[in-house]
Amino acid sequence: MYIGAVAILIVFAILLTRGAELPKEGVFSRTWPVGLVIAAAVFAVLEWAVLQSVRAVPQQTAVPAISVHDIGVALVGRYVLPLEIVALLLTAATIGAVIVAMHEKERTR
Amino acid sequence: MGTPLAGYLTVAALLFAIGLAGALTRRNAILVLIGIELMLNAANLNLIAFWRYGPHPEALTGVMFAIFSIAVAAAEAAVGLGLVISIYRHANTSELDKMTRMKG
Amino acid sequence: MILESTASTSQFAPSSITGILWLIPAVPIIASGVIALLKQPRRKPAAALAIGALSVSLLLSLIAFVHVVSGWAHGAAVREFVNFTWIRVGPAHVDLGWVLDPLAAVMLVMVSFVGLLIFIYSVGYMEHDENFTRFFCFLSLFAGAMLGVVISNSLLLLFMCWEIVGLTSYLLIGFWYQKPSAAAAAKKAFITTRFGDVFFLLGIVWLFAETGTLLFYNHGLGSLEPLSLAIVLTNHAGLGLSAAGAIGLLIFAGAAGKSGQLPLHVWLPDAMEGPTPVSALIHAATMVAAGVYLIARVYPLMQIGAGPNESTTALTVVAWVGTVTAVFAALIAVAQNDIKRILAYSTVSQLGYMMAGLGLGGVAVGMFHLITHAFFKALLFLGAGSVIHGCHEEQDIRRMGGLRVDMPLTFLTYGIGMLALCGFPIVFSGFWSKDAILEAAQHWSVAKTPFYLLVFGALLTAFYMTRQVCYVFLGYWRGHGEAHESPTVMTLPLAILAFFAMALGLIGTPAWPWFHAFLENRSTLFDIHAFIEMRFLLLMGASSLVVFLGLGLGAWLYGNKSPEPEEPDALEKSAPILWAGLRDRLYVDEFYGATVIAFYAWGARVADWMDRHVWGGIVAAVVWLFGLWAKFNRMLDVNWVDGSFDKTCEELSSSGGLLARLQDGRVQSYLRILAVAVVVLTAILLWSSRR
Repeated sequence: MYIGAVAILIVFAILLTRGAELPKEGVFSRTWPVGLVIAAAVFAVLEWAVLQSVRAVPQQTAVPAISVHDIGVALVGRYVLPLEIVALLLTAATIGAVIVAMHEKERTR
Repeated sequence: MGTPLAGYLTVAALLFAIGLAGALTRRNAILVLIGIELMLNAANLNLIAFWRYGPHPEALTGVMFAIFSIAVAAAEAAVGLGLVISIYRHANTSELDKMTRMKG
Repeated sequence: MILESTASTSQFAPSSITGILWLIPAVPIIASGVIALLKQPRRKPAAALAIGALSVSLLLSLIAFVHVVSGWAHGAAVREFVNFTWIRVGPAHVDLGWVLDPLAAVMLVMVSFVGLLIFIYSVGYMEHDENFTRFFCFLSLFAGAMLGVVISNSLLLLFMCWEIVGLTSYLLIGFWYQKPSAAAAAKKAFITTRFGDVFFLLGIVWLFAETGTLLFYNHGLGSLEPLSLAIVLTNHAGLGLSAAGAIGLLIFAGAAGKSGQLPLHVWLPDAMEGPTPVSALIHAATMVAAGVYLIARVYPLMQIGAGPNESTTALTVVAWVGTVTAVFAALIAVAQNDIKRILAYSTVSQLGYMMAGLGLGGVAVGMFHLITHAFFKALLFLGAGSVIHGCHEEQDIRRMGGLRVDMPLTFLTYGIGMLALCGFPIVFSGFWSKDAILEAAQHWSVAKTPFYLLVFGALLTAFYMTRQVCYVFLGYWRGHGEAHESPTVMTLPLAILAFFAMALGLIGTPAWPWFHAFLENRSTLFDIHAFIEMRFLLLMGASSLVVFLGLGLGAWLYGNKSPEPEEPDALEKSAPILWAGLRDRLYVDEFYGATVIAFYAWGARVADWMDRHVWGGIVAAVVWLFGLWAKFNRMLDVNWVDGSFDKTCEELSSSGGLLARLQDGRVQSYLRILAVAVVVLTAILLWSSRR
C-alpha cells in the first residue's frame, strides 16, 4: 500500500510539473561524475564497516517464527501509542502538503 | 541457514549508494526525492536484517521500527512533493540547478 | 628695614623734617600713578593732582631749607641722613637712604619751585593737546624722580632715580610719538645717555668693591667720608691714576651723558622735539643739571689727593671738558635758525660753564651758576614757548619779528632772561655766577687757557642771544597770520622767573658771598668794600666789556633789520664756509653716523646674515633631516604596515569570496558535501578502531 501510494504520488507530481518533457541539457546534472564518485565512496566506506565488523556478528540463527497476525496484535497492543501518533503525523503531513501545494495555486491566479 | 548478515548489509549499502547516486546526479527535483526514498528503504532493510539476526526477534522491535519508518517516509514524501509542486509554480521549472535563491 | 636717623655734626636733635624727607619725591610719584589711572578727558583732576603734589613737595622743601639755614645761622653745620638696609645677603648688605644738607636743600627748593612754575605754565601751553593727562602723568613722575636724585644718600639710589629721570625724559621728548622725528630724538637721547650710564655703573661697582658701601654719609663709614676716601686714594688703578681718580672719571662719564658735555651732547638739540615746557623743565633747568649735581655730590671723591691749590686728574678733566663744550656749543649756536635750537645749544654751552666751574673752582662756584641758570634758562624757554604759541607754532626765527609790539610782556621777560644769560653787569644774576667761574679760571693752578676760552665763550653768548632777540622781537613781522600775546597762566610764571633771574644774583656777590658760605659751612658778613678790591674790579670790568662787545656786534649786524627768510644771514655773507660749518653743527652727528652708527648697522647686518644663513641654515638642515625621516617612516608605513594590513584584508575577503561560493544555493552540492563529510568521518573512525 505504501508503495502504491508513493508511486501514484510521484506520478501525479511528474504530471503536474511537466516532468515528461525532457530538459535540454539532459537528465543528469553537469557535474554528475562527482556525484557518482561520492556515492561510490559512501558505498566503499559502508562496506568496509560491514566487513570489518563481520566477526562480531552472529552468523547462523533460526528464522524467527513471526506471523502478520502477531505484528497486528503488537501494533494495537503494545505499540498503540506510537500508532496513534504516526496516524496524527500522517494526517498533518497530508494536510500540510495539500496546503503548501494549494496556496501557491491560489496566489498565482 | 539463509544468507549471512553481511550479505544483507551489503545489499542495503548498495541500495543506499544507488539512492545517493541518484540524489546527487539527477537534475529533476522529483527524481532526487525518489533517490531519497530509496535511501530510506535501504535503511529499513538494514533494520530488518539486524532484527532477524539480533538477540530477541520475538519482541518485534525491528519490525515495528521498520513499519513506523515506512510511515514517516510516506509522510515525508508527500510533503516533499507538495513543496516541489509549489516551487515549480514559483520558478516555472523543476530543475535543481536553477533553484539558487538561497545562494550566499 | 633698619632705620637710623642721625644728625652727624649738628647740635640739634634729629629733626622731624629729615624723617619725612622721603615724602618730597614720593608725593609726585604717587600723583603720577594716580593720574595714570585717570581717563584722558579728565584734565582738571590731572593738572590739579600734579600741581598739588609738587606744591606739597615745594612746601616740604622750603621747610627743610629753612631748617638747614637756621642750622647754618647758628654756626652748626647740618647734615642729617636716614639710612636703611634694602638687601641683605648673609653678611653683605646694600643700604639706601636720604640726606639733608645745604647742597641738597638749595637744589630741592630750586627744582620744586621752577618745576611748579613750569607745571602751571603747561596748563596753558598744552591746553589744545589731546594727551593732556598723559603729559602731566609723565611730568609728575619726572619731578618725583629728580627730587629723588637730589636727596639720595646712596649712589645706588641716586642711580635708580637717575635712570627713571632718563626714562621720563625719553617719554616726554617722544611725547608726540606719531612724529617720526620726535620718536627718533627720544631714542637718541636715551641711547646716548645710556652710553654714559654704562661707565657710571662701572664706577659705582668699583666704588662698592673698594669701600664696601655706596652710602655717602654713614657716621664715618660712608664712601665720601675720610675712611673710605683714604682707601680709594691709596689703591692704584693703573695709568698713574688712583682708584679715586678712575672712579671719579667713570662717574663723570655718566654725568657727561646726562649733562650734554662734548662727545655726548648730540641728543640735547634734537630733544627740542618735545613740547616746550618739557624743554624748559628737563633740558634747561633740572635734568641736565643732574649731572652737575652728581659731580657736586661726589666732589670729595673727585678732589681727594690734591693740596689746597692743586687739582686732581679727575677735576682737570672735568674742567677741560666743560670749557671745550662751552665754546664749541656757543659757536654752533651762532648759526642756528630755530628758536629752540639756539637755546638748546646755549644750554649745552652753559652746562659746560657749570662743569668748568666745578672743576676750576669747586662746588659752590658750579652750583651757583647752576641755580641762576635754572631760573633764566627756564624763563627763556618758557618765553620761547610763549612766542611759538603766539606765532601759531612757528619756530623759525626768520619768520618772526616785531614781536615787541605784539607780545610786550613776553618781550620784557625774555629780555630780562637774555641779559641774565649774557651776564649783563650788576642787576642780573648771570653776571655774578659767570664771574665767579671766570675768577676761578683766572686763578687756576694748572693752566690759563680755560680762562681765555671761557671769556671768548661769553662774547659768543652775548652775540648769539642778541642775534636771536633781534630776529624775533625787533624789526617787523615776517610770519603768517597775526601774532598774539599769551594768556596769563603762561605769562605769570614768566614774570616770577624774571624776578628771580635778577634777584638771585644778590646772594652770590663778592660783597656778600652768602651762597658760597652756606654751601661750605662758613659764616660771612656783608662787606661793601669787597667791591672795591682790585682783583674783583678788574675782572668785573673785563667781563662787562666783553658782554658789551658781544651785544654791540650783534646789534650792529642785526639791529632792526629783518632780512627775508630766503636771504642769507648777515654773517653768512662774509664767511660762508664757516657759517655752513656752524649751521651744520660742526658735523658731530654726521661723524657719529659714519662711525658708531655705521659700525652698529654693519654689526646688525652681520647678525642678520648669521641668523638667516648660519642659524637658519642649521635649522633648515635639521628640518630637512626630519623630512627625510618622515618620508622614510611614511614609506615604511605605506608599504609594510599598510601593505601587510591591506594584503591580509584582501586575502580575507577573497577567501571569504571563495567560501561564499560554497553556498551556491544548490541543494545537491550541499548534499554532496554532507556525504563526503560522512565518508571522511567514518573512515577515520574505522581506521582508528581496526584491529
